Amino acid sequence: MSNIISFKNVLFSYNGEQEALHDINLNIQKGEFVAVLGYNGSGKSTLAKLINAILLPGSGKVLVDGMDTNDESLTFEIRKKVGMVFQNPDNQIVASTVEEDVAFALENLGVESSEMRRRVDSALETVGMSEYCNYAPHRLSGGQKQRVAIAGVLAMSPQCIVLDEPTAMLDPRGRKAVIDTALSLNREKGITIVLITHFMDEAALADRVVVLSGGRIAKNGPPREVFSDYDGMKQLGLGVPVAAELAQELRARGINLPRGIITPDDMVEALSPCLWRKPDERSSAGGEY
Amino acid sequence: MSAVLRAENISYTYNPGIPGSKPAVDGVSLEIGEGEFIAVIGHTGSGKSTLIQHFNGLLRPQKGRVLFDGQDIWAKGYDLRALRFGVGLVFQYPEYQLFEETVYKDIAFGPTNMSLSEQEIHRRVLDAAGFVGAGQYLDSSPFELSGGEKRRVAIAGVLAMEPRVLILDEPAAGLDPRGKKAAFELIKNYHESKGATVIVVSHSMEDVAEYAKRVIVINRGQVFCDGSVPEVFKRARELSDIGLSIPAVTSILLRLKEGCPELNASCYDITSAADAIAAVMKERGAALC
Amino acid sequence: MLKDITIGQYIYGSSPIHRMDPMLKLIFVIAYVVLLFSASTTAGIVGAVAFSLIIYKISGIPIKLIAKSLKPIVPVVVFTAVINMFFIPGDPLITIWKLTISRQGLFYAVILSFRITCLISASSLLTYTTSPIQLTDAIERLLSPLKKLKMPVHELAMMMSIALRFIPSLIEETDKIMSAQKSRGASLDSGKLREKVKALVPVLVPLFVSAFRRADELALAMECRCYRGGEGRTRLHESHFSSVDAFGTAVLVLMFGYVIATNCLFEAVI
Repeated sequence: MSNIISFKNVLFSYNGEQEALHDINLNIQKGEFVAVLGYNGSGKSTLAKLINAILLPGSGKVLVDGMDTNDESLTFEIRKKVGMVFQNPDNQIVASTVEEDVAFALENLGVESSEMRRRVDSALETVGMSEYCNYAPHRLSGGQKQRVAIAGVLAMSPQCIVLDEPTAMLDPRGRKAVIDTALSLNREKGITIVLITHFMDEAALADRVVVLSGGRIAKNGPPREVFSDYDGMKQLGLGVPVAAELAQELRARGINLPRGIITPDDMVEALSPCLWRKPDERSSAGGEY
Repeated sequence: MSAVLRAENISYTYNPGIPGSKPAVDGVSLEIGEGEFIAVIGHTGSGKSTLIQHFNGLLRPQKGRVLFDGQDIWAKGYDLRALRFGVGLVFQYPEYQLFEETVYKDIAFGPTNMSLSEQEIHRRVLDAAGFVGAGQYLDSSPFELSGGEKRRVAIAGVLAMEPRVLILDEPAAGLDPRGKKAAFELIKNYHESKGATVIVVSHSMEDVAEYAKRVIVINRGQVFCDGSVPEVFKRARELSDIGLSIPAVTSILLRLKEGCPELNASCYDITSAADAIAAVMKERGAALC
Repeated sequence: MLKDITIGQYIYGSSPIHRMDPMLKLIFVIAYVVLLFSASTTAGIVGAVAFSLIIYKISGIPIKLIAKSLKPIVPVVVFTAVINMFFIPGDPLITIWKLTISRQGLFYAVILSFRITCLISASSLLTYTTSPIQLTDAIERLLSPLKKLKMPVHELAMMMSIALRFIPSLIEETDKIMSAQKSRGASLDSGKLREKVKALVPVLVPLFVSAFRRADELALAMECRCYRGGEGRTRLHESHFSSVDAFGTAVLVLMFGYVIATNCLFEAVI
């Protein structure tokens, strides 16, 4: 599989001050679901903006599907390939009705009206917002607004969507709707997803987790591996998913659990064989204290 | 325990008279005891934010009464401003209300409105800043701080009024794990050191379980249930019916309990959940699964 | 209180009025205003008023909403009416102290009230039945000849449409900031004018800060969605001159004919 995004020795600093990103090397493959974690100020958002040519690297290169973001003539091609969804649902909806907002990018690209209609309808259907197509944005909930924002990006038929803390301002219901949408875009449409988040449970759903700290990549690997390092994650000012934390506590109590427990399903699967065994089978218990 | 705040059958409808407008608060009666730590939960639009705005007299109930220290706050001649100094309300994203040139001046805004002496204002600002750990940037502009710092300064602006009742609407929304923890810890400190009554609106069941003693669940403008943390989270099924959840660790325990009835599933934080699982495992003599 | 402002509050519908070409609608409103003020006979004015009522009926906009949009201008109407009532000379009707109400004055006052009311309801009908985006598109198209003179027509239209889009958000935000500052003991609705102005600082500063933040984030979001000015832009809702538009034009021409006819046939009342 080929890389849709690759960072090559990327350095970035805001107006020459302290470096926000430091020698970043990162490849994201087509169809991957990558979660990016890090405390506030670790460089997550900067990373996202570099992908979309909103920011340009101070040195090094960012390639999007082989196109260098430094090449100004490719900027629009790059933005068509990589869509962005931001944190604040209120401040990224441009138009006064849902469908006009979803059409905004297509209008900018000069897509013909009937083709636009088709793409807007299909994008709204994909995110499950068709019935709201004529709503004014201020009548939608936060989660619905974020789905509209996703639809607006989706209408451009991007290969990759970067979501910059899309759930930070949402309630649990809205959060679930947005994450489910991102997951299904990835699994069903093969769209590459880069999800920047503070929620460890969301990151646990990704194929790969990248942890940033002080502008450097501190960890990069499958969630099972990254979240198994409980102490390391705490040191980075982050946490681990609830199930991983529980596993850690159980291990501290002398219970041997397999590595890589990060979801409730993992935990139930690991514990049920011995907890669910009837007491009379006790004699055949494998381990010892 | 005496009631510091009391709501007697209050109702409130936005835009009454317009067809289709439903009451946001519908016949709520509550008693808030002196020194309690209460969490209010409910999904977005359940009316919880409307409800808390009644407690410091920002909204006037169309029906029913609100009593502070046994006095009707809407009685003729009642000093509403004095009430607001006694019942401090921290809105969602309170950093958006910062306006002064320096952090010091901003925190001093409330105490100055109370017409306190210069000395007393100074003491309170330092005190509140100390509480939130803002002591070292009293002279900086609040707009230069990071997100988490701004949030804490804004909370200090309310703490400086030294309210007997502190109400916070989602104090940790949008913060990273460290910022979240810091916000809740400072609220807990205020509660413990000043003996203040605290009411927190939160979406995070983990935080509710960790910090609150009593939980009030609001659904469709009414009190759905009201009780201690175990009493409320025991009703997991009903909570999920109204779009709420229970702490993730509790739902893991409940799933395990299905095949292991002796497991104590009434645990709401990781440590006690681990203890409960370890207890059963020990009894079974199993250490390895 | 702040929520009562209805500017830019588009109400979705599918009536013929909704379906009309927005630019044409804009021209029609201007034409209707001309019509209102050129009608100088009772029959002409009654016709113009009846016309606006019929259009409202067709649009399906609830009558309550017109009443709401008219509420803020009631003092203006009353004021102008009263002034006219007393100061237009003519056959005296009633004399109170030194002031005389003449028959002509009274008549003029009534007609003027009707004119202002119709003017406001016609323009609110335009905003009720046309989404702000369509409206700014219409303005952009209407003014597009000015592009040749290097006027930033597209940019102005875009700014207007974004302003309209953010009015509800900013109103909500103002309400929230006011509540938050009230919770810190700010008294926003009492005191002398100077104190009142001073008391607004804690509301205005956060409001401006937040508006700038919004503008920043919105600009970023627009850039990410390939915005690059008006060049080469297409529209989701392309406007075509439809049968509704043709019918509307015909009706308006007839209305003009009617008003001109009444002006010629009957004696002018003003």
